[in-house]
Amino acid sequence: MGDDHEIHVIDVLDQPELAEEERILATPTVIRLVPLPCRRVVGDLSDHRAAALALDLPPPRGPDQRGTDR
Amino acid sequence: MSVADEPVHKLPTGIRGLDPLLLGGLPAGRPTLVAGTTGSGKTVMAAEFLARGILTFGAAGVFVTFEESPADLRANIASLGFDVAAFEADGRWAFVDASAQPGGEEVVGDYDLAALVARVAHAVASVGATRVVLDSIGAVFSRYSGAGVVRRELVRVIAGLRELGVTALITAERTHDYDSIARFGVEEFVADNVVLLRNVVENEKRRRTIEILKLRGAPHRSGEFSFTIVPREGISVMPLALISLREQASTERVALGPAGLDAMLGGGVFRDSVSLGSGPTGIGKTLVATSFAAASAAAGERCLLVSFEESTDQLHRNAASWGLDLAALEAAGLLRVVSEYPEVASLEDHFVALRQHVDTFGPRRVAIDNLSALERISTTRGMRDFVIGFGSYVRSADITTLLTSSSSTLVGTESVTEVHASTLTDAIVLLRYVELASEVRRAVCVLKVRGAVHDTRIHEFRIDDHGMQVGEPFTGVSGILAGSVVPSLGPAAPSALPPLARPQGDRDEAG
Repeated sequence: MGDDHEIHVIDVLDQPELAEEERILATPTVIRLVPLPCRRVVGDLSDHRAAALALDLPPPRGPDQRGTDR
Repeated sequence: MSVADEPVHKLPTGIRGLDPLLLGGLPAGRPTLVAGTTGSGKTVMAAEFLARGILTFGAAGVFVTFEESPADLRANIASLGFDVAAFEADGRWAFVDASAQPGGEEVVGDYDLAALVARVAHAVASVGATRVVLDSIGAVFSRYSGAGVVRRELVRVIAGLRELGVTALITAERTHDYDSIARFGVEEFVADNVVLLRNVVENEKRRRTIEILKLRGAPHRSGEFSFTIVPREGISVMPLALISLREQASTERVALGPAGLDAMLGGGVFRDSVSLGSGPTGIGKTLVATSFAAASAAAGERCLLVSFEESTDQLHRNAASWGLDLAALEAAGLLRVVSEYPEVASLEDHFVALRQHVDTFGPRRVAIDNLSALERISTTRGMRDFVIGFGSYVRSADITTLLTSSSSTLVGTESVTEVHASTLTDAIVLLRYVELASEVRRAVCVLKVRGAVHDTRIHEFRIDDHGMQVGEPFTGVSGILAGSVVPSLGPAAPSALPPLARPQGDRDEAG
């Protein structure tokens, strides 16, 4: 993705009011705010291909080259 | 958990008629599952549980919604008479909005519901809640794949509730009214306490019922009980005879109405009694009911007269023919006449309407004319619940009550109402037609007066422009109640016909 991204990590146990605001039930949840439309993906992201697809990101380059780690 | 041996503390719900079924309330600090089909009243019960907590016990609550949005819930709950927005503004009610996101969520890997647990804990802390509802838990299953994972996570949520020490009410869907407890086997992890709500059709009548299935080994009433949902009031469970028997029964006597009848009763009926006047059509049951109202007014006491057979106008006209001016009594504030067709509402709704009239008018006496009309809209079971429930309600309020009921045949015995009402009433007056020497005459008999001596003879009575005039006992005949009058055998028999009570004699007795 290069530098063209900004990621906020929120620990719901520390900031439940933010979880309330975003109406998050499950952890982990990734919310892609931009570009619209907003997308929400639930579950650990170990399946990179599925995660990338769900978040509408470019697919990971290869099976052994793991993308951004958690 | 190690609490199994501890006595179960009950937390009163405050919902009308429910706590007596629970013998005190829900187990405090524990979750209770409320399961029912669509439209059975689960959300209503959940919302009222919180609202009553706030209004009655000053206990704050958290509403976790998985289906409807908080905005929809506020509007829906407002129709029950609870102002959720005001509760929220006071910091006594908080929503946790767990309803589905418009765009949905995609599950790509393993997850847990720790965020939900954290949000509930946060909301509980923010308002200091002791009551929490989850409505409805089945929605989580339809939102996330993998029932096993969802079940595991809901166990986590419920464990979180236990840790918070809140009394939780968790609703769950059922697919059928008589089937497994809830979809997705929800009862497996909130199995301690289970309440079932049903909305069933029985003899073409829709009837809501509530059943306490189990309560953590704590005692509770068993079986199905009728309830209704009243606009601006919420749930109302028919109390049945659950109001504990009063320690002291009243020894005060009050006049039932016609003087001759009161004499037969041994001086009227007891203050806290329920009396039944039974007879075939046209015999004079409505007359007895209106006389009862007049006697009440004469004693300076308010009376509620409920007619399920005649309109208010008809009632006024008939009363006038017996020399009673109901309009004057109403104007004096001593009488309220309520006239309803039975078909306009369900039996449960009629019960609630009656109770509301009693609450707003504050009568010392209530007359219902007549129960048999209500049978048209009721099941046998519903009718019995009604009589027991209403009887215990008026008794506890020290109200003298008269019920009338029609017997199905002109002479002789029994109808359904009588079968059920007779064991539940304190005094029974039978009115019957008697055929004697090709003439139809009227007979009155006091069948029982609980706790008092009464005249056991069958008297003749007439109806004139002064009302009911009780005359002399029939003599020399038997079989009046059975409907086939025959001359009595024995020394008094030969004359066969009893002396007719002369009108002048009746007046003297009545006056």
